[in-house]
Amino acid sequence: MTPPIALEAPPGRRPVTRRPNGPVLPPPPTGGGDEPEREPSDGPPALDNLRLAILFLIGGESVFFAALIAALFVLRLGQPLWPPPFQPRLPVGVTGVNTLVLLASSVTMLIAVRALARGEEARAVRRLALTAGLGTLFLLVQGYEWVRLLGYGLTVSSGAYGGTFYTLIGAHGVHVFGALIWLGVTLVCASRGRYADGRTAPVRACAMFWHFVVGLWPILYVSVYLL
Amino acid sequence: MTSDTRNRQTLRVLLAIIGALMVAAFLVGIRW
Repeated sequence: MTPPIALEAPPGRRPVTRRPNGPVLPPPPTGGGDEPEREPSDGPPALDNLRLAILFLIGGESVFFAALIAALFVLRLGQPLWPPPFQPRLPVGVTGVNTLVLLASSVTMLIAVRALARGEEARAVRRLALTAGLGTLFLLVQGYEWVRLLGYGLTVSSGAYGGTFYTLIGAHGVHVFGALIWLGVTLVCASRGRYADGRTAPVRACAMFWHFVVGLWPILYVSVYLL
Repeated sequence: MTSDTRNRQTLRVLLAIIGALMVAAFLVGIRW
């Protein structure tokens, strides 16, 4: 391949590089989501391809969970008593505190993204780590409660009560776990300075999914534990 | 048509589909 030819620039002007085999191609269309932040404008932020892709993912997940919650109510209405007699009660108090832990993780994620947008990378990494810690704590408490419930005899085969509980809460737990892996990768990349120079789109994508998983939990908590 | 405009149109279609599916799930849930 022939190297580009550097033309000598007139005094006071920058040198121009021209490719020998034709004009310079126009830059690729933007919208991939990984370009540096643009200047802030008055209108809403641009809906780039990455953000749209995450919204597609969240849309699919929303329909999935809506179907599971609908199944829960269909099965509940078919039962004369809920919870059925001789079945353990769900830990409402501990899970309520755990809900606050998960909601706090959404706040720390918000702070992390804002810190990264301002260029405070060290602060953003610390807040991302705190978010991951809160998410892990949520999963650990959930796992502990599951072990206790299994010890009390509530299994996935304990009729509609156990079946809907483990399916709904388990599906959410899997999503939190997946979001934690995503967050872990994002955290490692952030600590290595991958999101410097305003390239924060991957972090914003991760944050969108995290906020979705957190926002979903209170709906599940009310549907499964409180109603 | 810019990428932003095209993406917003796609998002509107997506939201319409999700809305319809959510309403359907709700109606099934209340045994319509």
